[in-house]
Amino acid sequence: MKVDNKKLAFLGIVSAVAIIFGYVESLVPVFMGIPGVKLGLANLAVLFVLHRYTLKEAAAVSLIRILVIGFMFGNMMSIIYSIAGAALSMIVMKLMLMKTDFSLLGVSVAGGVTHNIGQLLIYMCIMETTSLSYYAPVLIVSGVATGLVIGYLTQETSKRIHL
Amino acid sequence: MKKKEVLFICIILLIAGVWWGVQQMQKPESYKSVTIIVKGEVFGTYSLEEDQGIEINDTNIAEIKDGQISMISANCPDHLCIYQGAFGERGGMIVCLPNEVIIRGEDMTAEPGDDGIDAVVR
Repeated sequence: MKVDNKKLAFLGIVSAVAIIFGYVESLVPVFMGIPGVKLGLANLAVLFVLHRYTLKEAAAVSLIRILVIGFMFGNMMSIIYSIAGAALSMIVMKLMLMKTDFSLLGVSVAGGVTHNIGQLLIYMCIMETTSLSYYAPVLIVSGVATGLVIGYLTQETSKRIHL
Repeated sequence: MKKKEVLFICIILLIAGVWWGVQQMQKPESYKSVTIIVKGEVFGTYSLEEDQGIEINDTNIAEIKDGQISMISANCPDHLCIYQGAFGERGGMIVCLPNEVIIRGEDMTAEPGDDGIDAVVR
């Protein structure tokens, strides 16, 4: 099997960056005045890899990030929540990159919204209540807002990193 | 950003807006009490008119003060439920995910006979 060393090294760096983003975000519990809403800086790394490589590489980076962050700062439950949101948003973003001609901004917005919806659905399953749908509008709007920011940052990053 | 994407974002925001609007319409004008739910089951219902501290199992402590309820203590690491602040008779929700605790406004206005304001107007 031929190993692409350059790619391997690059994915390692991206994973490390994603983990640091996760750590930085864990220091800020309240963002935009809404507890629990995060910018999702790690999504920058995932979207970047998804855009440049394939779903396989993005999934690897994302899984490593979630496991490391989960074991350092979270618990088993937070790992499950994170995987649900990350998996749903990653698949939706990949489909949009393949099937539509949307720019990274539009793709990132879809990713942000589906990430939040995925997590909310898991919360509702675990807590066995539908009353959490109360938060859906807030989470959709914050998904759009954070998606736009992350999409823009990813676009600018992609322009500047050439391999 | 393309026109299509702007439209896409507008549609998403519209869905959120309509969802929020429907929620606001369904909401009664005021809540007199709150219900605490732990792990999907009702833990208890408490009146907002009475100042009290509520110990929720050994994990969280909620406090009702001046008609407002807030979470004042939790044993989870992130304390997001405490940051969620207080809500009163306008309704709202406090959620502690790690301990699976939900505090939400309960509709008691449907009960006839305790509508003091109407009596004064008459």
